[in-house]
Amino acid sequence: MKKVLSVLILAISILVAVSIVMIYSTSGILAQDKFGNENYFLVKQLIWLLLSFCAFLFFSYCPFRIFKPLSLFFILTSIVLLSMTMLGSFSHTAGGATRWIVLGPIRFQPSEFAKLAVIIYLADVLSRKQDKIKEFFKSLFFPSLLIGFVLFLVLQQPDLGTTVLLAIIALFVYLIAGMKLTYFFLFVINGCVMLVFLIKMFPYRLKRISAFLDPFKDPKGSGFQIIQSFIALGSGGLNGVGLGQGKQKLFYLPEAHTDFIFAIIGEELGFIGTAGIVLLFLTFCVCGIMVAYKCKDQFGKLLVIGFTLMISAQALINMCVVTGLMPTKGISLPFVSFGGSNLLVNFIAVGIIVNVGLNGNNRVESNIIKKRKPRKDTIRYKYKRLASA
Amino acid sequence: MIRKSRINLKIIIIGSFFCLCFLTIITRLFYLQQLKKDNFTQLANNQHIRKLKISPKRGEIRDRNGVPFAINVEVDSLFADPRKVEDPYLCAYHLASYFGIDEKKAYKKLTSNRSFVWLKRKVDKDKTAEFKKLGLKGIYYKQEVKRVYPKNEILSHVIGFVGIDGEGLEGLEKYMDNELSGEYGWRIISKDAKRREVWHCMPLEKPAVDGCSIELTIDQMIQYIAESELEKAFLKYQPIWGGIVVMKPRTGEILAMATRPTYNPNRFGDYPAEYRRNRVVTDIFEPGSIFKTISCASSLNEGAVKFSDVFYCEKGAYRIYGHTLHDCHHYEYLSFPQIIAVSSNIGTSKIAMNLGRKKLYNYISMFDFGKKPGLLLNGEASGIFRPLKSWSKLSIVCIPMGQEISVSAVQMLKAVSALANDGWLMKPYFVKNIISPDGKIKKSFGKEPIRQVISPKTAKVMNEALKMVCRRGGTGINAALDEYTVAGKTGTAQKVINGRYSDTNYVGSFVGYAPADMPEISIIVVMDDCKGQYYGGIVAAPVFREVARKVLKYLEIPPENERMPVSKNINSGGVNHDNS
Repeated sequence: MKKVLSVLILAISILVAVSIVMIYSTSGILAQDKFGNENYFLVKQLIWLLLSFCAFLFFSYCPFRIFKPLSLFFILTSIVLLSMTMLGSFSHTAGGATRWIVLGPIRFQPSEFAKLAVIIYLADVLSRKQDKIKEFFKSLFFPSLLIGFVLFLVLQQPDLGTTVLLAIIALFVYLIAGMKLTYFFLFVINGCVMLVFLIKMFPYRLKRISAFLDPFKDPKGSGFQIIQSFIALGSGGLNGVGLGQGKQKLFYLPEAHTDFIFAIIGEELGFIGTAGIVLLFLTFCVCGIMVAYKCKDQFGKLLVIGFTLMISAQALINMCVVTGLMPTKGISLPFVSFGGSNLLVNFIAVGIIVNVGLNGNNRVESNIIKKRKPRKDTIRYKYKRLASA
Repeated sequence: MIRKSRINLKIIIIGSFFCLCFLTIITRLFYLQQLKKDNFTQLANNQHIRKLKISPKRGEIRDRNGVPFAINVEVDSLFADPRKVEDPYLCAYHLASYFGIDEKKAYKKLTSNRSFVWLKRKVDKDKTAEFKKLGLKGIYYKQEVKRVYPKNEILSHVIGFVGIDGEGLEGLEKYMDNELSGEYGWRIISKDAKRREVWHCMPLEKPAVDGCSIELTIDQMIQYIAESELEKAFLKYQPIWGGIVVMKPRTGEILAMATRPTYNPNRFGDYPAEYRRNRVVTDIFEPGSIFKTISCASSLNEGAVKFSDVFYCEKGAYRIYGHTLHDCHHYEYLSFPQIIAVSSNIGTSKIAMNLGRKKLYNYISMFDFGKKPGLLLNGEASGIFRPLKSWSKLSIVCIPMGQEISVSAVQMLKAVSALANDGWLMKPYFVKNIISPDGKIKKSFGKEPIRQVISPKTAKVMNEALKMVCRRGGTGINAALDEYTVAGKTGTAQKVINGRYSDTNYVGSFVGYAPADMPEISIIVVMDDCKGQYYGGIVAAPVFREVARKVLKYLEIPPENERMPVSKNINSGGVNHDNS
């Protein structure tokens, strides 16, 4: 098990190392142009990275079972935070979407924490209601409503990408936990209908779809970003033009240091670089699945599979967008793109995976919690007895 | 445990699904980065790389002493980015007051929807320096090179001029454009999406090759003398056009070449196109009596006549081939030199008839009539010289006295210069050296003898006859100088108007050389259709005299000892009549 975990951590370390180099490479000129300091984004990312690393250490040592009783609290907190983005005083708007909460110098995306909360909550609920899982209305109806509300709030920002990501993770976790296939397909059909409705309702989403279907129809308008992404990838070839030598980051490719950093990796490091990144994510995915596979604790298993799928799905969607397999969404590449909240959340997730990997089958630890329970019971029992007495 | 294993199975299925997705992306990446690589690399280069032109320096044009006639001056061109102009009213106002641009037009340009508009091109630097102090936003300056002709009208017809983008449009600037303009260089640069130049890992460039300079045989002083004397005569007699060419008969070097009306190449747009024509090269005219020099020299050379031969001049009216030929005066017997001196038509035709059609034709072609003189200019006229088979019977009478044949002034001077050069016909030229930018002589033009047309002996005899023209009793008395002997010939040709010889429109001309026995310069003066006086001896000969005197003095040719007892008070009007 330790071997698997060390491979997992190694894969992520490499990703983070590439990320730091590439963020400097892609954002340096933009930062110089905008802030007069070429290290602006790099320093910011490094601070977030330090913070994330601390979080990673904390969550890899803190026993994961304590989340179990806190899961409802988490999800309610995230609902509150998401609601706060709707209040003007705390929120920050960028690119037409209100996704950030501003608290002093810190700015973070509550939708990122919602991801964590949803997975923890689902893992908790599904592991508790394991016996009644086949009866949807007795076990999954209320949690589904709650998650549906979270999705609604995220969609409200608007952030269709994260909504879809959350929905996919939730569905897969449901499926793994043992939900009936009929319900699964019902959810999928329902989701698809909603998606079509949402796309039809907002013309800019329709534009993105048409740009996805034929980017060269409007190369200066809606197809611009994806064409620039293709140019970046294509001009890289096998070896790339060389680290730092890419030209697409010179204001040709929008969002070069965030959502489209993968394209610049393709330009500067070539097919070797991009295939390497994909393989690193694949390694991470496989390691995560192995951890989940070996974990005997139901809660831990669902947590690990949830987080693994969360990060893998996010990476997949991002890479699909960059390579033109999906319409443009505002989803960044985990560990690699510039962006603090996402990095922190992903590191917390990895921390929890490591924790589960190390302690998932540890009876002693579970005994401690089990021992506590009777103690509480005895206290309660004492109260009861006292009361009855 | 069964449920556990089932969960694990699902985990593996979903995990495999994800792995499959990752592999799909790798396939897609392979497609984009390997199979489509060339397409996208092409697209990338299209937007990243730009080829910049580097302009070469245009060569200068200088006279034989290195005095510049065409130079380059660095100037500023003003352009604007209308999107960045803050106060178009103010800008337009200042532009109007500084550079004389129309204020409304400037305002329209400054408020247009583009990102680049020219405001005024090629403005002197000191003017823009003041303008720059205003600090108007959105107006920029680009350094450009402007072609400047410091001598203005002087030699303008030979030099020509260039267009706004430095392409030769006229004269030497056009003919020698390839030599003068040099070669464009280029540089490959990368640019970012904001069109700014960025550092390129391996800048490729080919430097521009500057143009060659041209050194002329023209002498600024002589040119100035010729122009000013021509100008005087032009104002006095108001011909349609007047021209003068000064040449060194021994080498064929052209020392001056001027035409009136003229223009200033710095503002060539202000003049009508015909003012810009180098008429001494492009325009042809029937030479009239000045052509008698050629026909008489030919007859003399062939032995058809001797210097001492005397001809009966039929008392001024000679009936031949159904036409009557007239002289101004009723001469009876005239010797060969007298015929030339008084310019007798009847005498000349008799001399030519002694020679015969075929030989006359051969001599005229040997003098290169009907051929371009081969100056380095565009639009050179070759004149009209009909082939022998289309000569009429009368041609043997008309051609020797300069009818039925058309020549350009340069052609005529070239032929007469051969008489002054022991019968050797020289190729006229005015480009002496082509000098490459590093100062080395790339191509040099020297004297180029074409052929010996008449023998030195004939030339000497002709010289005596032509000297008599400029003595008392000759038609060219007005060309005579006190200090030097002059040899020359006047001409007054009737112009052909509506297919008939006009009785009111004449081309007056004079061609000659001095000093007669050691010729240093030969000059032709042509005045087309003067108002009032029209005889070549009156309108053209004085121009010759003044130019010859000043030029010989400038060239420091010692005055000849034998002073010619010439009184200029002779009433030339009666004597100088010569016929067309």
